[in-house]
Amino acid sequence: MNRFATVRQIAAAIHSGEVNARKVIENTLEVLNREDRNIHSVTHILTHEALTQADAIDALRASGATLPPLAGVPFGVKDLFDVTGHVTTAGSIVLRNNPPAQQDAVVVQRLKAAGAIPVATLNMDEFAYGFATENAHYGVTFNPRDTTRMAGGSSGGSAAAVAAGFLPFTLGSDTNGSIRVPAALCGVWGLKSTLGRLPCEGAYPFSSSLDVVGHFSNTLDDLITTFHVMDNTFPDPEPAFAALRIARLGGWFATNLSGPYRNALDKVCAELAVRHTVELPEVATARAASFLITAAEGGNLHLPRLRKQAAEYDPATSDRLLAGAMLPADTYLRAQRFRRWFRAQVHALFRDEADVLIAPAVMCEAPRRDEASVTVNGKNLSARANLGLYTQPLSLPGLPVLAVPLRNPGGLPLGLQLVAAPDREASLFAVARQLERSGLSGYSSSTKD
Amino acid sequence: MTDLKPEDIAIIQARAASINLEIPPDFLRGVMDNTALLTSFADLLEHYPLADTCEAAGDYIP
Repeated sequence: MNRFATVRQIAAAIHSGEVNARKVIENTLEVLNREDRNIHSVTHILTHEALTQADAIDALRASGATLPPLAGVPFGVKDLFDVTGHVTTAGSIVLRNNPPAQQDAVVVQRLKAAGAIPVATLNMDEFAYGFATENAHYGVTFNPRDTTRMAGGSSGGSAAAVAAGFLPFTLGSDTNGSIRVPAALCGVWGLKSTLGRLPCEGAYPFSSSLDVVGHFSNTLDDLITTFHVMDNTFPDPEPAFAALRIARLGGWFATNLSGPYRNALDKVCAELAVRHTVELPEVATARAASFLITAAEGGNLHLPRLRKQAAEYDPATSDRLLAGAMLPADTYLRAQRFRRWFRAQVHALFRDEADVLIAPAVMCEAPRRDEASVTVNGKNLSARANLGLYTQPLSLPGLPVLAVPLRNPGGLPLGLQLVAAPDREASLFAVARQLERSGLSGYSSSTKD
Repeated sequence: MTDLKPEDIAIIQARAASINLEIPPDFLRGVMDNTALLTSFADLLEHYPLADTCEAAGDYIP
């Protein structure tokens, strides 16, 4: 099978007997061992466990039993998901002496119950605090579309492994944009579902009131299929595209955009016949609140260890966690009160004006790793801290957001955010299907595409 | 790179001490830069008026 085979193609081939699960997993392991040195997306390969599970799938098929839907499909997990028998390190060395996980994270359990096979843990910013996947302990993950460019973070290993064709889907987490940013920079699909919809049990926390687990894939169908397995639900009927009220987010989300991004958004809105632009209120304050809640909750979580072993943290993480730990309770509570107000405004907008909102995921194509800056309000600022300019405000209310890769022939990937009211993931999928039909979504390296 | 002001260092060290934390000298600049960033965000928030009845967001109930 070609290494960009989709979840559905792999599952179909194993179900039909065209290929067995062991062969699929052996090929996947071989690709990871041979080619990941160019990308550095992997932190640990689960060779023995993966082959054992593959053999179990093959034995099941030989017995004549019905195979589960994702039988033999390989996937990877961000380094913060519990995998039985392994210490969950969350991209750090600080937790290395913890006992191994006694059970898989709940979403991993559900995927394994459906026959999917975890084959690797994947690189991330330490404790998910960053938009770069530059990790002092485990190295830098490169963008497979152009290895001189940032992969984005914090789930950069997960996005890069999919973009490189190593794995058909991977798990990540998104607190302030950690799925949406790397999805946009690497040109893959990513989903941050409604806050609380997918269980976070067994995923090492970062900022517990904002954390969402999610995933990446190269196709929309694969993203939807695996989402419903993790959600333990059957797919909702998708609304008719024509019945959806779609609006473009203006104001904050229309400033600081690069030329290619402006053009791509115009093209998407023209294709979808979007004529309505709406603005969210107090977006700068919403971003600030999200930033502060993250800093305070992350700092508080790590405070006991910071007192004793701050020097063992990645320097890029420790300074921020220390500062966050010292935030006054007044600031944190004010941010959470603002969050309630902002959430009410956003819910009203979805009730009165739109079903799906369109926004850019980031402001520019993947920055160069040796420069690692982005331009915001005319200033060159750290990409690591500012790539979440458009994702952070949308994290605050807890909405579902689909990261859509946009074709940019001859250029680097571009990424869109489709945003819906809580639990309306099906509306996002309906709009994404329209973009897929129009040929605007996906990734193309050729100017001919 | 500007010198750190002793009075700013004293404030940070006092804040740290209040939660039984010590900021090692090598971390001071980074922590102070990040504290300044968080303070700028907190200022934004401070200027937004919230009704007394607007409670902190707890569990998410869409």
